[in-house]
Amino acid sequence: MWMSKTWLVQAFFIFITTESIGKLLDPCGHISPESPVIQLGSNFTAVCVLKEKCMDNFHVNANYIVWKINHFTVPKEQYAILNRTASSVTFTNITALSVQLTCNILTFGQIEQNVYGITVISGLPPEKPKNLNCIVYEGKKMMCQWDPGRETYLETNFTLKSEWATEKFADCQTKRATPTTCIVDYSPVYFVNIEVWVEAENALGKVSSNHINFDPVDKVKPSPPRNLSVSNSEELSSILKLSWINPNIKSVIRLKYNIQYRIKDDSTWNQIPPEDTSTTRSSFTVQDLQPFTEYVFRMRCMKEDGKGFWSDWSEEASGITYEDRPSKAPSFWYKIDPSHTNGYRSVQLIWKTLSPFETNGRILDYEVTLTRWKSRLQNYTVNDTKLTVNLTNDRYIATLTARNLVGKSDPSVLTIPACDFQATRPVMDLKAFPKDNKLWVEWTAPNESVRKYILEWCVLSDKLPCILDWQQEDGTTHRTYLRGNLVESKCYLITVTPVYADGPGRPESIKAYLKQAPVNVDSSHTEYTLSSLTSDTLYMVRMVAYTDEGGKDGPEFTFTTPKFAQGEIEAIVVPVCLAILFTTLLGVLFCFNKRDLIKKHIWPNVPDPSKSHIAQWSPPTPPRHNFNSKDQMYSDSNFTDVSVVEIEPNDKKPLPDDLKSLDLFRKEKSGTEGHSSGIGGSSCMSSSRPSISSGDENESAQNTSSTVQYSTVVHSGYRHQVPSVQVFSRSESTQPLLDSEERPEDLQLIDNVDSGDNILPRQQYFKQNCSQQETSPDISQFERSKPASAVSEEDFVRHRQQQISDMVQSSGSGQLKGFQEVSAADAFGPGVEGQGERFETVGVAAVIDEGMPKSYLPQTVRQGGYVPQ
Amino acid sequence: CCISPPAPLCLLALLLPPLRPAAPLSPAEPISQAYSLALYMQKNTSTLLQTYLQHQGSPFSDPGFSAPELQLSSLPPATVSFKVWHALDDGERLSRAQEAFLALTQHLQLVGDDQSDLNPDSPILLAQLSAARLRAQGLLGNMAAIMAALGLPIPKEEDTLGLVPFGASAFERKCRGYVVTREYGHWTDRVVRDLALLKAKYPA
Repeated sequence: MWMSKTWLVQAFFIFITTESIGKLLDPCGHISPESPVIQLGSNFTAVCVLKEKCMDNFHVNANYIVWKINHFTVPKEQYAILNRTASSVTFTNITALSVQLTCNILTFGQIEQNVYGITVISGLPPEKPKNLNCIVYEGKKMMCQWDPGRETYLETNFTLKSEWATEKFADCQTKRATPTTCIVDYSPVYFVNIEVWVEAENALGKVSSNHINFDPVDKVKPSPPRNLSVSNSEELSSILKLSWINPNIKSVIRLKYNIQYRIKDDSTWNQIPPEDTSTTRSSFTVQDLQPFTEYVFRMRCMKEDGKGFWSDWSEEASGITYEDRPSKAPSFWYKIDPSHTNGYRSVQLIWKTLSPFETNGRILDYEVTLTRWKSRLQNYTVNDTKLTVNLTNDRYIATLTARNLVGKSDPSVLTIPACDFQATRPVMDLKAFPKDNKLWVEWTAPNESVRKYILEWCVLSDKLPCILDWQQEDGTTHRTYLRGNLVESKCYLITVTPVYADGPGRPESIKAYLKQAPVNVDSSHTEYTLSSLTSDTLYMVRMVAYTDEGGKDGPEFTFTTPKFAQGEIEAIVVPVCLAILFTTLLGVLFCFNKRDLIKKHIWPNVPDPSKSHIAQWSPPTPPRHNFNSKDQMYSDSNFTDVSVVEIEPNDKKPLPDDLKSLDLFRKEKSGTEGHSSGIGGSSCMSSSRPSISSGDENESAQNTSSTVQYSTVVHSGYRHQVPSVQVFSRSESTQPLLDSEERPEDLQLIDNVDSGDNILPRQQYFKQNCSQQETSPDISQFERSKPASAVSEEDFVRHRQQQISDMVQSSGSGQLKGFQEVSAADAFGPGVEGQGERFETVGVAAVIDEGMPKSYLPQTVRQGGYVPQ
Repeated sequence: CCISPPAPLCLLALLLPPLRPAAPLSPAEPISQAYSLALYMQKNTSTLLQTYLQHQGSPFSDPGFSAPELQLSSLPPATVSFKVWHALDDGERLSRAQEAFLALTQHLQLVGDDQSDLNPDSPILLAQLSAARLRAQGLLGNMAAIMAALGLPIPKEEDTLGLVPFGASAFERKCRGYVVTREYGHWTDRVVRDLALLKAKYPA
C-alpha cells in the first residue's frame, strides 16, 4: 500500500514537472543570455541557473547540469560550476551561424531532464558602406546606391540619411542588395546642396558611410531628346537638318548634346564634334554628307557643364540627302567588231555604271554623242550601259554623260581612231603580280601624257572563249588591281591600253595568276599527283612545308608535260600500222586476184620455143648470100626480122673479134660443156636446167653432126615436143622484152658499137617486130621460119631437115612439129652453150629472160655459121 | 631681378596657404547656386499662385482676381522703393531676404496645412506648396552659406507665426494663403535681383 502510494506520488511529481516544462510556465531554471547574437569566431559563455524549488524536487544541484548543443552533449571540460545553482559553458571560436543550446539536469535514474534552451545566432557586424552615389532621373525622385560590404549573416538595415544645413529629410530604409539602392521620398530640390550618407546596422553593430555633399542638379540624368526629325535641303545636297524637342529639365539646366549619324547600311556611328553641340539648342544642321544617301541619326544630352549623366540615346531618325549631279564621269571604252564591211565598222561603246556614291541620285539615262570631224553627228540617249553603232572608217569622238534628276555628270571623252590608225606608244615594263589576294598590275607610263588607261582581262582557257572584263584607271595611275571576281588557279590575260587625247595607244598584254594552284597535302603524304595540267607546257612546282609556326619554301623545280599522254602514241601508231598492213594485204589480195592481168602486163607471155611450130615451118631454102653480108640481109626484107635478132650479139662484138670469140666459143664448147651450161643457168635459171640435162643429148647431137652447136636452144623444146605443141614462135617472145626492158641497154650498147650502120636497121627491126607481134597473127607463121632459115644455112642442117621432112611426111603432120624441134635441138645445142659464155662477157645484156638466149641464138648461129667458113 | 626675388616669393608662399582653405568659402559658388535656385523658383511662382487661386473658388478663381491691399502682419512686405533697396548693403539685403523667406517657409507650411483641410483632393496644389516651401527652405540655406562666405552674421531663426493662425475661418485661411503665395512670388523676384547684384559683385 505504501509502495503504491510512493509510486503514485512519484508519478504525480513527474507529471507535474513534465507538465510544467512542457508548458514552459514554470521552467526549472533559465539560461543567460536569453537570445544571444555573437560575432563569428568569438568566444561565448552561457550560464544555466537552476531554481531552488526544482533542485529540491529533483534532489539535484549545479553539478547535475548537462549542456547540450544541437542535441549533442557538450564535454565536461567546457563546464564550470559557479555555485550550487549555476553552471556555465564556454565555447571558443564559434563558426556555426545558428546553434541550439540546452541546459539539462540528470535526475534520479540517469534521466535527463531538459531545463531550458536557447538559440545562439552568430554573424558579423556590418561593414562601412562604400561608393555612395546618387542619381536624379529627370522627373523622378533621387536614387542613391552604395556598396554594402561583406555578408553579415544577420539581418542588416541600411538607412540613407539626407539633410540640408537647415533641414533634415526623411530617412530612406532599405535591405541589403547588390548594389544596395534607395529612392528618397521627396522631390529633389535643385541648386541646394544636400548631405547624404548611409548607416548600416545589425545586431552586432552600426556603421556609417562617408558623407557626400552635392547639389542634386549635378546628379541629373536627363530624359533623351524626343521627336527627333530629319529634313533635307533642295539647295544643298550635302546637309540634313535635325530638330528635336528638349527634355523638360531644360527649364532648370543648360544642356549639351552628342549627335551621331551613320549611313543606313553602315554599322559604325560618326559623331559630330562635341564642341559643335555644347550648348542648349533644338536643331542642328549636319554638313558634309554625301548626296542622295540615307543617314540615320540619334542623339543624347546632359548638363552643359558635364556634371551629371548622359541621357539615354534618343530614338533613331533617318533622312535622305537631296540628289546632286553625278560626281564622276563613267568609265568609257569601246570594242570594234573586226568584221567590217563596205567602209563601215560596227563599234560597241561600253561603259560602267557609277558606284552609288558617285551617282548622287538615281541615274535616269546616259547621253552619248558621236562627232565625226567637226560636225556633230548624232546624239543617243541610252538606258543600258552599251551602245552599238555603225561608223565609217573615219575618226570619231564619242562623249558620254550620266544624267540624274539634278544634272549631268562631266563627260567621258573617247577618241575612236580611224580605221587605218596605227596605235603606238604602249605602256612599258608591264607587270602583274598577286598581293593581298588581289591581282595587281603595274606599268611604267609612256613619256606622253596619258588621259586614262584601260585594263582588260580574261581567263585564258582551252575550252572557254576569252570573255573580257575591263576597268578604267586615271592617267596618273601606274599601279592598280583588277576589280573583278578573279578566280584562283586561272591564267589571266591582262591587257593595258593607254588612251591618249588622239586615241588609244598600243595595248600591252601579260599573263598572270591570282594564285597559282596551291595544293595542301597532308603531312603523312610524300607523294601527290597533279591533275588537270595542260599538255606540252612548262610547269614550276615548289613545295612548302608548314608547321603551326609557319612554313619554309623548298627548292623550285620545273617540268614539262609530255605532248602526248601515255599510250597516246601507241593509240595513234598501232591503228596506222594496222591500216597500212590492211591496205597492203588488200593490195596483195587484189594483185593475187588480178595476177593474170598483171602478169600479162609486167611479164608478158613468153613464147615457149619448145612449142614453136617449127615443124610447120616450110623449108624453103633461105638464100645463102644473106649470111655473107649484112647489107644484103637487110635489103632482103623478107628475112629482115629473123636476121636482126642475131644482130645484137654481133654488135657487142665487133667483127674483128668474131674470130677470137669463135675460138673461145670453140674452146669452151669442146672443153667444158657442163660449165657452159652452168653459166647459162646463172643467167637464166629456167633454161639452165634443160641445158645441163641436155648435155648428153648435145653430145649425142654432136655425134650426129659435128657442127650443130646452134641447136642447143631447141633441145628443151625437144623434151616438150611430145606433150604439147606451142604456137609461140621465138621471135614473138623476144621482141617485147627487147622493146620494153632492154632498150636502155640496147641504146647504150649501140653507142659502143663501132659500126653505125647497124643501129638504124636494128631499131627499125625492133619496131617492126613490135608491130608484127601486136597486129598480125600470121607473123607467127612467118617468124617460125626464122630459125629455120638460120639453120638452113648449113648444108648439113638442110640435109638433115630434108630427112626430117621425110620422116614427117611419113609419120603424119601431127608429129612433124616434134621432129622439127628435135632436129633443131640437135642442131643448136652446142650453139647455145657457146652463146651463154658470150652473154656472160657481155654482162647486163645477158641478164634477160629465158627467151633471150633463144632470141640471140640466131646470131650465134650465124657466128657459128662463120666458123665453118 | 634674379637675385632679389626671394622676398616677394616668400610673401606669396606665406599668403597662399591661408587662401586655399578660404577657397571653398568663396562666395561666388553659393551666390551662383542661390541665384540659380532663385531663378528656378521664379519660374514657378506665378504657376503656384494661379494653381492656388483656381483651387479656392470664387472670388479667388475669378479671372483677373487681385487684392494687393491684403497683407499679413506676420509677413514682411516684399515691395520696396528702388531708392531704399539701392541704399541697402549686401548684408542688409541678404538679412532682409533671409527674414522674409524664414517667415515664408513657416507661412507656406501653414498654407499647406490649411489646404490639406480645404482641398485634400488637390495633390498638385499640395505638392506645389510643399515644393515651394522646400525651395524657400533651400534658399535660406544657400543664403546662409553666402553670408558665411561673406563673413556676415546669420540672423537667428524666429517664430513669426506664434499661435496666431489657429481658429481662422476658411475664407480667412484662403485669404492668408493668397497673400503668402503672392508674397512668395514677390520676395522671389526681389531675391533674384539681390542675388544678381551679388553675383555681379562676386564673379566666379
